[in-house]
Amino acid sequence: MSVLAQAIPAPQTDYTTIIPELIVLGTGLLIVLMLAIRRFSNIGWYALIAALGFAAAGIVAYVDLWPEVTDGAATYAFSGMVAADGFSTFVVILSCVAGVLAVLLANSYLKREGLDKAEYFALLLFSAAGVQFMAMANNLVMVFLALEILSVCLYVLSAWNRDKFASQEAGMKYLLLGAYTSAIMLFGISFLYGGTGTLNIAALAQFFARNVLENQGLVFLGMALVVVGLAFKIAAVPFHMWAPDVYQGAPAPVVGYMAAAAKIAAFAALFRILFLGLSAMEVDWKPLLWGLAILSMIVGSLLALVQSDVKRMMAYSSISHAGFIAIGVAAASAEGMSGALFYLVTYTFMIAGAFAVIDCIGRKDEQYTKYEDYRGLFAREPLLAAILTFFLFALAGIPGTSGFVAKFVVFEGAAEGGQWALIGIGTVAAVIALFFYLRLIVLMYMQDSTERPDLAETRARVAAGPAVVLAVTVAATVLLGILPQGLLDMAGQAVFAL
Amino acid sequence: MSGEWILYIVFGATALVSAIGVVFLANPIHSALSLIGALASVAGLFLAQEAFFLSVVQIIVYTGAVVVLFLFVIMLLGIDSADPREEQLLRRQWFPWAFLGGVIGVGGLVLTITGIDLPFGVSGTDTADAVNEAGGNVQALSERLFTDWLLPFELTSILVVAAIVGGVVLAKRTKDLRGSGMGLTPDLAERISEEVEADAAEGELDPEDAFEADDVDPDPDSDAVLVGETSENGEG
Amino acid sequence: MEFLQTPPDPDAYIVLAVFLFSIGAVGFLVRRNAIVMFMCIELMLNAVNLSLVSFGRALSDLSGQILVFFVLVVAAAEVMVGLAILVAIFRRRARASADDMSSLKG
Repeated sequence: MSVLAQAIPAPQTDYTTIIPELIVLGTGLLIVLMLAIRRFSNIGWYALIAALGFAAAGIVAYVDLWPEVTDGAATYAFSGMVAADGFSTFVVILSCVAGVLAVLLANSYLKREGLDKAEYFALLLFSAAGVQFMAMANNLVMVFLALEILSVCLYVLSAWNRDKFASQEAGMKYLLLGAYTSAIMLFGISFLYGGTGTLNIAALAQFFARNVLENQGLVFLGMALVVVGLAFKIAAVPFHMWAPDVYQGAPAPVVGYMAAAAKIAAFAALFRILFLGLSAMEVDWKPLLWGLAILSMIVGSLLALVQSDVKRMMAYSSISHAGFIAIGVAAASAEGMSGALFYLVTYTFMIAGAFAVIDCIGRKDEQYTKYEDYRGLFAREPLLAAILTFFLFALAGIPGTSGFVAKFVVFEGAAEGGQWALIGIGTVAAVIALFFYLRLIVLMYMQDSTERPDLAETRARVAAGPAVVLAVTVAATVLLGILPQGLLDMAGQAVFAL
Repeated sequence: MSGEWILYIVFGATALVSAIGVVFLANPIHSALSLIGALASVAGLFLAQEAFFLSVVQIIVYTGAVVVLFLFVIMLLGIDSADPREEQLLRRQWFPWAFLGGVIGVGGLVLTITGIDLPFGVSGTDTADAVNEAGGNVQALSERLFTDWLLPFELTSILVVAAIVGGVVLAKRTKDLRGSGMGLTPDLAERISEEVEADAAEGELDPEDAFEADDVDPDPDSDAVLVGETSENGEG
Repeated sequence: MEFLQTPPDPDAYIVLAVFLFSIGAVGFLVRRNAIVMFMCIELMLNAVNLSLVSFGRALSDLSGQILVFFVLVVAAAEVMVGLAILVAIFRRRARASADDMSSLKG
């Protein structure tokens, strides 16, 4: 009885720091509730609610939190579970942008394929909340839980197309390998805990500041296994095996979102764990990231050369982009980090735009994703072909597009750290990458679509949602290519206020 | 001999043996039963380390829910016999040695890197006495969970909601035959509709009625036929 | 058997956990049946749980046990989604062998 009478101390709650996440989660739960209570026949309404939820969260984060967090030091809330700082707020805003793009892409896709279930949007919202909590997580348990929320949603979304076996297969493969690597990452977390006695990332740094370990093996292996778990999510070589299959099988709008969201989340967690928690072990994790970056850039670019399916090629391209972003982390400097953040923003726009085009060209059942189907595309769909060409050039990093600026700032960060070898290999990889993008571009401008009456007859339809996505992403890619300074400053501020 | 050693040896041995059983038994049902042994042994090891709450939860959640879910799905899908190719592999003479070599290799590598003498310099505040003073393992854990660990605890609810929503969406069959439900491939749906129309031409059935009926009777027999035909179609 | 007089070291539990983990990890790689692969993942998670409890005890800290609690929830959620996808696949295919998953090729 005495135990019952004993009051436990009130938990430390500070909901103002997680308002954007609460809005996103609330919108997701609202959609689930509305589905239970009454069904709108048109899922467009749910799409509207989801988009509004994302927009509201993004605006709140920018207007309310951003000025606050860039002023001072990080605030820790919920007993040190989450940290609200410039970095996390930047990622929150970015994930909201990615979410709005994903909703716009999905609406027409779901209707076209007859898969119109509004749960899709609820899962999108939950997964975005996972990304946001991962960026804010100041505790390894939070990192793990947020990663799982994101992953579980992405597994389901990958398997969304129940009419297509490839989609379910993609979901299954993603889930099996994802669960496998989560278990490995968890083992790493357990080792870190065993070696340091804490799960709090900020406390990890304090531990290393106070103690010199005689036997570093335990924390080293823990760190390495956590990096493996996150490297899987960003699809860095050699943990990329799932990416080609999942990218090819999953619905195009899902891939356009997943490619960006998973990278944002995993890189955010990598930043925080490695820079803040394990900065004392920089000598140990730098070579790991070096290896990941170099392997991803080279292997991704080389394998992309020999693909014959556009979605699969984009998977290898995303692997090589993961390598470029990893350069920013491997630079282990504020410049490298802000460069990587900038890269993530541009990548979010480019990949969403590219997959919007791929979705439109694929038509029903996404049946036209082979290179053969893109032969002579310009003659049939001049506008779509031109837009895709633009995105491919941006992904390749041609000057004048945001892709070029992104690669430039990442290299700049590496240069400040004197890592010329990384820059050299990165340049070679970028040149190889240019080839495989060019291969597809050349194919699109070939003039022999005579053998494909099926393609010539049915024109690809661009619905309103993808049209808006295309307009926004093209505008953003051009704008960030010409006037990147505003966003660069923001990314710099975000890292500075870490 | 110390009591904890007895628990450690008994449960540790059963855990390892049943874990090997999970991998070596060709029939998924046997694997699942072996998994129960492994999970229960780990619960015993929790008990040996005075993690009473987790020991009970381990039994309830894992053996009570997760393994039952496994068994349920195995029975539901009728995969209660071994895959012939896999059985062949498991029967190979070299297989156990290769497997054991792999396990010892991985485990040995981990132990070499970590060093078998683990550093335990840091000492927290939750000693056995402190836990007892808080009222025991359950009380101490719950107090932590609802104060310091409140946010992760709340987040698990989101995880569970997402998993439930996802699971329902993926596994639910839709009522509309023309739609995506019942695992019908477009080919098969077309064939059925042709058959129904042919029947209608003979005056047996009105095709409109057949398809407007919202509730298609989920007759288990007809479903089995549908699944069989689907796989014959070799869709993919 | 002098050492048996004192309770086992935390290291003893960690060694056990490491081998339990590697049985699961290697088992996942050699088995092709999706359900058995899930079971191997459960084995790995259990090994992690065991190591967390042992570490927590050695460190006199309850956080390890709390993390085990969350791992339990996550494992259940993952299994649920995985089996749901499996059921969906089985609606169209008779066997759930990972070898059959080969429609995705370059």
